[in-house]
Amino acid sequence: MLPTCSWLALGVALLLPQNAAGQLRWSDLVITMGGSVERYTGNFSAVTVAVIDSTDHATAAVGEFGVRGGLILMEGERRGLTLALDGGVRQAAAMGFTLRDYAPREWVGSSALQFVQTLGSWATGYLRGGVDARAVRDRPPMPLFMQPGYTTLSGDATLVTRSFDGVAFDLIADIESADYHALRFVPQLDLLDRRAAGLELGARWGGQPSTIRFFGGVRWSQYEHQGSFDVDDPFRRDRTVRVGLGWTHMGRVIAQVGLDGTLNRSNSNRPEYDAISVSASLTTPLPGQLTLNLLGLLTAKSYVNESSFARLVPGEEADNASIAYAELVRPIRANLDGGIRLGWTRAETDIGDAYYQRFGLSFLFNYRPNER
Amino acid sequence: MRPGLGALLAVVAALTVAQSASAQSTEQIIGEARGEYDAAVLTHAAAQRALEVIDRRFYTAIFNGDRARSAGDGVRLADARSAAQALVGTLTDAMNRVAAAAGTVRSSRQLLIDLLILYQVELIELAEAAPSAAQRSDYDALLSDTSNELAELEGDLDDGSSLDPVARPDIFVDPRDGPDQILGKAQILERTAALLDTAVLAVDEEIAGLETRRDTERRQRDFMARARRFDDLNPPIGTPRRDPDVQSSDSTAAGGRPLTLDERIEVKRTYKQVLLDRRDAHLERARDFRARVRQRT
Repeated sequence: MLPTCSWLALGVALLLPQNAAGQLRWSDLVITMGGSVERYTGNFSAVTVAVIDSTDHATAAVGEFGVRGGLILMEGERRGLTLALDGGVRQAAAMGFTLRDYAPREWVGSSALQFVQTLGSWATGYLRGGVDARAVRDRPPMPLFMQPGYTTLSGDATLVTRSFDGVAFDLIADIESADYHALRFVPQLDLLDRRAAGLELGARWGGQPSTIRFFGGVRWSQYEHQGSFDVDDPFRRDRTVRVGLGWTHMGRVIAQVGLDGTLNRSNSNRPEYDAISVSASLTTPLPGQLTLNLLGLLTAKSYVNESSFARLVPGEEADNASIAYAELVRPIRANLDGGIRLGWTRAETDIGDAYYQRFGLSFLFNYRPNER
Repeated sequence: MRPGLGALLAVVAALTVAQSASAQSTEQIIGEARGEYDAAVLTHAAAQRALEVIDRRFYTAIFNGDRARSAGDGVRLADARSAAQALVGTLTDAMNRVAAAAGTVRSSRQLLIDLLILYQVELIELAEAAPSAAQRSDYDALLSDTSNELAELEGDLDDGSSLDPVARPDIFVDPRDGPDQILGKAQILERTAALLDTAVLAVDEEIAGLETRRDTERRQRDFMARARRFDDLNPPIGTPRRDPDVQSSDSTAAGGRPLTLDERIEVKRTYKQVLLDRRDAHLERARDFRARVRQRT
C-alpha cells in the first residue's frame, strides 16, 4: 500500500492558505528535486528479494522529488502544536542485470504530530505521535539493495529539564509498531513485523555553543512472526541496552560526533550481538557562499553465537552499515539552493558478513516557496 | 466624528429635557468634565515622567555601548547592546502610553471647552432675564470666570503637539534659551542620531551573523532530511534514535519557549527599525531647533 495517508495530509496542508485563520503557518516548507547516478557492487542473493539475478555490478540512474515542512497548528509562549510532514518519490532506471532491466520506484511519507508544553520553569514536555510509510514497486535483485516497504506507528513522551548546576536531564519513553508489506513471493518480510517499547535517560552538559550528552536506555522488542526455537518461549523477544554520548556544536560551524554501543540479547540465539557505531557530521560555510556538509557513520557488529545459516532476518542488513556523504551546496536564488553530493554505503546483506557497496553522485535543488 | 461630540449631544439633550435648575445641572456636568480633564492631565504627566526614565536608561545603554566600543571592551559592549535592545519593548510601550494619555487629554479638553461655550450661552440668557441688578452682576462674574477658563484651555490647544511622545524629551527649547543654547541642543540631538546610526550598523552585523547561522542550519537539516527520507541513513530496524528536542541554537530566554533563529532575526529587525525611527526623530528635532535659530536671527 502506498503511504497514502501521509501524502494526503501533505496535499491538504499544501493547499491550506498561509496564515489561515491567523493560526496555521509553515515553519519551513522545502521542495526538493534531484537526480543521481549510482553504482552497486556485490554478487549474492538476498532472502528479501524474490528475484535472483547474477551480476557483480549494477548501475542506476535515479530521479527524486520530495516535500517536507512543519505546519504550526498552535503557537504560544508556553505551548505549541506542530504537524511535521515529509513525503517523496524516487524513480530509478537500473541497468546491468542479466535477466532484465528494472525500474524500481519508492514512495515514502511520514507525518508526526508534536505537542510541546513548558512545565513551570523547570522543564519542557513533548508528546509526539507519528506514522511512517514506505512502498516499493519493482524491487530489483541484489546488489541494488532497497529497503522493503512498511508502515510504522510510533509515539513518544519526552521530558527535558532546565539546567541544574550545568546539567540538564532528559527522559524519553517510546512505543512503536511496525508492519512490513509482505508480497506474495516474499512472505518472509512478515518476519520483520514487531512491537517495541523503550526508555532512555540522558544528561547534557554545556550550553551555547557546545553540549555533550550521555545517554543510556533499554528497549524491549517483540517479533510476533519470528520463531525463537524455544518450545517454552516460541516467539522472538529482544532486550537491547544502548549507551553512548553525543557532542554537538552549534555555532558558525555545526558539528556533531556520536559514539553508540549496543548490546542485544534475545530468547533466540541467532540475533544476539554487540555493536558499536561512531558517527560524525560537519556543516560549515565556505567562501563563495558555499556550504560543505559531511557525514560519516561506521558500525562494527559481532555476534555472540556462531550460526551455520543465514544469520540475519531479511531487512536487518542495514543495521550494520557504514556510510559516508559529502555535499557542497550553494544558493542560486534567495529561496533556491543547488548542490552536488557524493555518497558511499557499505552494508551487510541477509547473509552474515557479506556486504554490498553503493557509490552515488547526485545533484539536487532545495526550493523554499515561502521565502522571498 | 469629533471626539466627545457624542457626549456633548447627550449633555445638550439632558439640558433640554431638564430645563428646571438647568444652571445647577450644567455646573455639575462641567465640574465632572473638569475633573476628568484634570485626571487626564495628571495621567499624561505620569506617563511622560515614566517615559523620560526609560528613555534615559535607553540612551545610557547606547552611550555606554559607544564608550565600550571606543575602549575596545567587548564584554561591556555586548552588555550595553543587549541592555538597549531589552529596553526597546518597554520604551515602545511607554511611548504608546504617553500617546494614549495625550489622546485622552485632547478629547477631555475639547469636551470641557464645548461645555463651557454652552454654559456661556446659558449664562448670557440668565443674565438678560435676571430680575435684579445684583443677580445680573453675579451672572456677569460667572461669565467672566468661564471666559477666562475657556481662553486658558484654548491657549493650551495651540501647544497640543507638546503632549505627544518625543525622543530625548529631556532636551527641549526653553523660552529663555538663546541661539547658542538652541544650536548646542541641536548638536546633542545630531550626535545622538550618529550614535544610533552606529548602533544600527552593529545590529546589521548581528542580523547578518544570525542569517548565516540560520542558512547553515537549514542546509544541515536539508542534507540530513534528504539522506533520511528514503531510508538511506536510518535502517528500519528499531526506532531511529531521537535526541530530545533541545534547540541548542536558540536563545536561552528565561520562561516560555526559547526563541528560534528566525524569531531572533525578527526581534533584531524590529530593534533596528526602532533605532532608525529614533535617529530620524532626532534629526527632525535638530532640524526644527536650527530652523528656530534661523527664525530668531
